[in-house]
Amino acid sequence: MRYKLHTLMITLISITHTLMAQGIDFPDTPSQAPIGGLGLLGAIGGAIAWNKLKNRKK
Amino acid sequence: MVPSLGINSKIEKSKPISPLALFLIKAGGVYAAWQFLYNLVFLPDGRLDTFLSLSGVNLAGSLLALLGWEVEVSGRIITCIGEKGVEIQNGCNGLNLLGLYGGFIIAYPGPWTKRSLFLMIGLFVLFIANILRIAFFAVFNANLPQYFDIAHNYSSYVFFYPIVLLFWYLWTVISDENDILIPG
Repeated sequence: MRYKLHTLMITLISITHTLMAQGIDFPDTPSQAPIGGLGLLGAIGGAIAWNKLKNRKK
Repeated sequence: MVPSLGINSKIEKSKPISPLALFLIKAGGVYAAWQFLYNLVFLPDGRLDTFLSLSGVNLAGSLLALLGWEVEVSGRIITCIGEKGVEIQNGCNGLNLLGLYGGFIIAYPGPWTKRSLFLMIGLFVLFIANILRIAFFAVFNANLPQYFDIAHNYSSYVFFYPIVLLFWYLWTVISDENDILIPG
């Protein structure tokens, strides 16, 4: 399982690196008024998951 | 020496990855996939953003009309008649938030039947919350336009985040339970 995950991660990083090296980029971002605090919300979500999963074995 | 190395490598390979590490890897993967999908497909196409913005404005207008307000809806703009209007741009339609909400539900371990149900209910509730938020913007801007920026900046903390955190927490609790009604 761990071996497969490592392979997957290395493959994804390699593909991304190759794409970026070709000059492929995201389209221009339009001017928007984004919803604020999404990073904070994500961090709280991570904390909830960490609290629930830290002692789980399986 | 060689056989013992083989046994050690077998033991190393069979060691299970912890649920927390698996969650972090899955969350990172889902978030990266969502960013790619949004930036390379949904953003250039624009239809999903436009649908969320226009349907949100239309339904907010209908809600306010039902409550007795005189409102005018024109495309992305909702106006309490005689007052300053509010334009709902793509960044205000909640799509990023829906992606973040869904990412957690998908990444956190649990049975797929319950997960699908939780995803659909949560996304629907957040869509309704965005309609309420747009209606609130229209009324607020008609009455206190000088404070609109503050209301806009902090509205997410009132309308969205309690719902998202409640659903995330409920999912961490419910995903562990053996439910008789919904077999996992």
